Amino acid sequence: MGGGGPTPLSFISVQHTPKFVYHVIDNMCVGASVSHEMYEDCPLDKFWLAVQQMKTIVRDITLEKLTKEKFIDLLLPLDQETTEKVYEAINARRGEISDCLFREAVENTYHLKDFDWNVRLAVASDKVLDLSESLLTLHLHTSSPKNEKDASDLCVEMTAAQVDTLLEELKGAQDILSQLPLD
Amino acid sequence: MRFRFCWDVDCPDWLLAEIATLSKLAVVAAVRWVLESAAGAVVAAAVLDSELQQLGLPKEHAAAITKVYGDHHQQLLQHLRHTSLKAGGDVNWSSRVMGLAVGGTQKPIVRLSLQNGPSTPTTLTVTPSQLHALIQELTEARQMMESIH
Repeated sequence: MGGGGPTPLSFISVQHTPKFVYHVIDNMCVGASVSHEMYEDCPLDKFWLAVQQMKTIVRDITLEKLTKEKFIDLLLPLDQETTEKVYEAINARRGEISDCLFREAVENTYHLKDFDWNVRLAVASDKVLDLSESLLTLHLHTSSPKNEKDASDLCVEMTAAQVDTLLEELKGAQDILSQLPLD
Repeated sequence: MRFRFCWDVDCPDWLLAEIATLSKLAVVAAVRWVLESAAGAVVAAAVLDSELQQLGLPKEHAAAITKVYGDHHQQLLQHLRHTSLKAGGDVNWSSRVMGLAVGGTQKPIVRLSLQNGPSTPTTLTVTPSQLHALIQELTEARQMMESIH
């Protein structure tokens, strides 16, 4: 496409190209599988290369690294109508793709995966006969970037006053986020 | 030799003579235990005084210990409550809103740090939607803590 030999994408038949784009986006965003069975006209080795090529195109369009003109150039063997359909397919799901790319970037850091908590009343301890204190146990389930050792979960026990302090900190961050300009 | 706890003068001779006794009989440990135990049980000073005398402690000694207890038992109880066994110890939280590079753009995320004592803080990425969920859930948990207290 745009000079040189045929690119992997050109091995996907014209009538299947829009469907192929949707399947690749589904694979990126929700992990749905892209099956070669649906595109048997395309040689297997070219098929997987075509999937990678389309993923790169989808990423680059979403991140505005690829203009529409360059995109049309890339898909040049395809007719204009099909090219438009592919472009619209990607554009229509831009928000979803953007969220997916954001999740990928987050997963490259030590990040919060999930959390849970429980509340209990501490009646006494080894030091105080009548404690009568409500305590929150917060479990933060974490994950590390794929190449690093799995991170261990964090467990913190807090009194009511300490929970208030944490809430104040979190709400402060939320206030800052709310003042940021929307995308 | 001068000592600050002796108000910058020499340590009194009578105290020097008793230091050996203090060391041998672990009196300090005993007094500490009495004070902590009494504070933990939230006993009144008068009760402590009476019970120490029942144990055989001379009246003057019991009175001395009880006086200190009476003056400081609230602080002591607060300290004991604070240091009662808690998973994870005392944590200091801090947060920063930062940009995370996603292609050529920056998306806002929160970097939440936990520090337990002098150890290196642990910092993790929290997305805006996770932050919102944390605040909602912790608010609910806080209300629950209030209702069971």
